[in-house]
Amino acid sequence: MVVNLGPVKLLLNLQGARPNPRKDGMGYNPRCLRRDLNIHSALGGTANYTYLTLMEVDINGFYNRYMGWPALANDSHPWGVSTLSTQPI
Amino acid sequence: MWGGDPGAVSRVVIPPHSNDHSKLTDPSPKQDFFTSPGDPLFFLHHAMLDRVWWIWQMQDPEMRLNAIATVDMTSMNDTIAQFGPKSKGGKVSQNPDEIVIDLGWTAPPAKLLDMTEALGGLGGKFCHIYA
Repeated sequence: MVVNLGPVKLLLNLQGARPNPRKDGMGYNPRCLRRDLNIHSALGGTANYTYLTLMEVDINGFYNRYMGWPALANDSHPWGVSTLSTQPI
Repeated sequence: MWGGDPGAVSRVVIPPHSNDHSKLTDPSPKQDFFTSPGDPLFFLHHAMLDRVWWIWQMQDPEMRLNAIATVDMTSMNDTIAQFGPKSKGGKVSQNPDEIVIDLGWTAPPAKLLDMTEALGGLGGKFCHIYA
């Protein structure tokens, strides 16, 4: 599959990453879609993480678990966006 | 790209879309915040997240339907202000009553508190439930 827009802000200087012809990232820049499937990023998509999220009593606890903050626990939202379209170069 | 031991991951990787965009300069592999919707699965992922939120709300709708997180969003807002289509360096309010969701050319701006109810939100335009 091919993606066309961006990259706007690549956070890693990947080999083969081609900057967008336009500064705002809206130029035509066809390249292969990339995904990043691995056991660590996938942890946030497991049933027990979702369960833990749903067990949070107040909105801040829910939000934090959901968004991964305090982060770094491979939580529900980040696992997906990190797996999908990772560094779409 | 998220390989390595989980300890290393939890020390280094800052999840994209998380609050802590201040650490975006960390030398860790991350996706491009703005082109992730180029993957169709992005939308399935967010629909599922919306469902999880809805399930959480429905456990106590009276208290939870309009509950808005008050955790600090400064770093996220800085990123939006820097790269977002509309904000042009402006700060985003921390007050839930004043927060406006503006996705640029994808949809008209809408007040955050008008968008918390799947059934009847946004002046009745939202009309869906999750199974």
